[in-house]
Amino acid sequence: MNRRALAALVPLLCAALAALPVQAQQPKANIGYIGAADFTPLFVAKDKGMFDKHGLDATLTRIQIAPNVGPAIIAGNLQIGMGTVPTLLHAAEGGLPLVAVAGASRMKKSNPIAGLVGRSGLAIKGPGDLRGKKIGSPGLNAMLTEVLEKWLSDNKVARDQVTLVEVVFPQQHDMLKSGTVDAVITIEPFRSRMLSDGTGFKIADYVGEVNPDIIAVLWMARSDWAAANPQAVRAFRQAYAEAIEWCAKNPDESKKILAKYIGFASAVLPDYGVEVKLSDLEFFEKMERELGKLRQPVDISKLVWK
Amino acid sequence: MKRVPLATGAGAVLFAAVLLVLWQLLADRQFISPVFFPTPSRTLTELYRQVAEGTIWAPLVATALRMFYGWALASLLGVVIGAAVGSSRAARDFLEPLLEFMRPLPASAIIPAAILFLGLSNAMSISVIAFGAVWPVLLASVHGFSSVEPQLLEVCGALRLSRAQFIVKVAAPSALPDILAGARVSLAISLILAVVTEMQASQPGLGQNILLAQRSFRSPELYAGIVMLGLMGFVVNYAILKGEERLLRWRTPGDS
Repeated sequence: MNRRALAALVPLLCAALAALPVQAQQPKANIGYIGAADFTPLFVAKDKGMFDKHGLDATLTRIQIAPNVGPAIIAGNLQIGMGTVPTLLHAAEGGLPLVAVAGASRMKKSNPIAGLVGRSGLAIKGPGDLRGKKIGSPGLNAMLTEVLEKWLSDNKVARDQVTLVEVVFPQQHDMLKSGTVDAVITIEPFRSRMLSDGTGFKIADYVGEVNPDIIAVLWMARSDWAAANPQAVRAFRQAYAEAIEWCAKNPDESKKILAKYIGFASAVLPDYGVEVKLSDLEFFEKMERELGKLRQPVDISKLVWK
Repeated sequence: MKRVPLATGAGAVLFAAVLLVLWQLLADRQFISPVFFPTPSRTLTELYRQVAEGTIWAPLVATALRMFYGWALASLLGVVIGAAVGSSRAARDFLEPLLEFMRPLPASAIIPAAILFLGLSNAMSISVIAFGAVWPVLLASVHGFSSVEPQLLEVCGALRLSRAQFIVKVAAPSALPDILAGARVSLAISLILAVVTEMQASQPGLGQNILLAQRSFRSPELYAGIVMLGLMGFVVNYAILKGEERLLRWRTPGDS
């Protein structure tokens, strides 16, 4: 190699080396979500550059079913992933090191986005009429199903008096119509479709009856990853909070971005919130113990990243 | 069937014990995360808890009955269709291409269609099990019924036996060893499909328990379910072997 070529290469090499630490400083996170309106701010933060602005190199990965998110985080495929408080509690009981790093959405009585829909023609007026009925649920140990069990138990309907079967949201309409199930635990926009075409009728917005304001979905990470990457977690939270504000100011465009990511639009959007309150965890911990879903005591104070 | 010599039996138990100790050591030393791979002692403690509290019986009975009904239906269909196809050239010509088309279909692939027709019900589960488990019995029956010894056929001709008499008195006993061997394979398939339908179509049983344990990160419960399924498979296989031995005693009179 001659001297002139070497002289040209040295500055190039120096520039490349100088650029390396800058890239290495930008934390990366692979974020796992499922197709639901709860994650609109995530799509907005990615689409409108909020993650970039706060210095997080975020990749979004769609996971088909929610129960696979926790194991994917533990295995290191995802750094941050969606979950619910029951997921966190079960993980803690099983010894898995997961913490909540941010809230995603809340269920409020004033804006019910989930509920129980019955098949048209059936006389189901309240929880008592559900005895002997077959109810389609998005997951047998999903948060919405466990809250339904709590609602039934509060209304003196024993768990073994109803049959719960798993029917994923997109299949619920057809299953209800064909009579395979008598009622379904559903969310928007699937609920509106069933109600508007006469397939089903509203039985109850039971979540609001159990608790008027609880966290629906949150973001989880491995506790060791969160402890080692506080900058990434902070950037995620800041970008997310900014995206939530943006969604509130631009509801129509938010819905377009949501449809772009999950393939369908939702007329009704849930309430978003980045905060995870201790009272949210307390409520679910008490409910899980009452329903016999938690066997060991869980220290909930360790389940939220500080 | 020959008796297992005592030394061989002891060797098998010892080998299983060595594997258990190895499992315990690997899990104790945390070569694999104990969260995903609990020690055998934790797994067996969980199994003991389920037995002591009585929570294991309902799902165990549900899975066993589902497996049994599916297997019984598969065996009945397999023998009836197998007898028809195996003992008639015309039936073989008509049915064989269709059967060959359906045979390689994975039974789990028909679950969505079965749900549409029969809903999320036990009938759906049993139909899927029967569909998947029918082939070993059916093929064994076809083989058994179509390969009756020529001398026996000549004797039947000389005795002027009717078709029904031929099937009941000659062909069926001649095909029995094949049918029983096929039925044993079907039973294993029935257990597999019972678990698959429980996992895919929310039917209560050991399969559903395993799935829910996995989703709730309860690995001892998950492994306890797998151990229970293993035990169940072992017991039913042993039972059918004993049944086979009894039913086929006439073949080997000196050995029982």
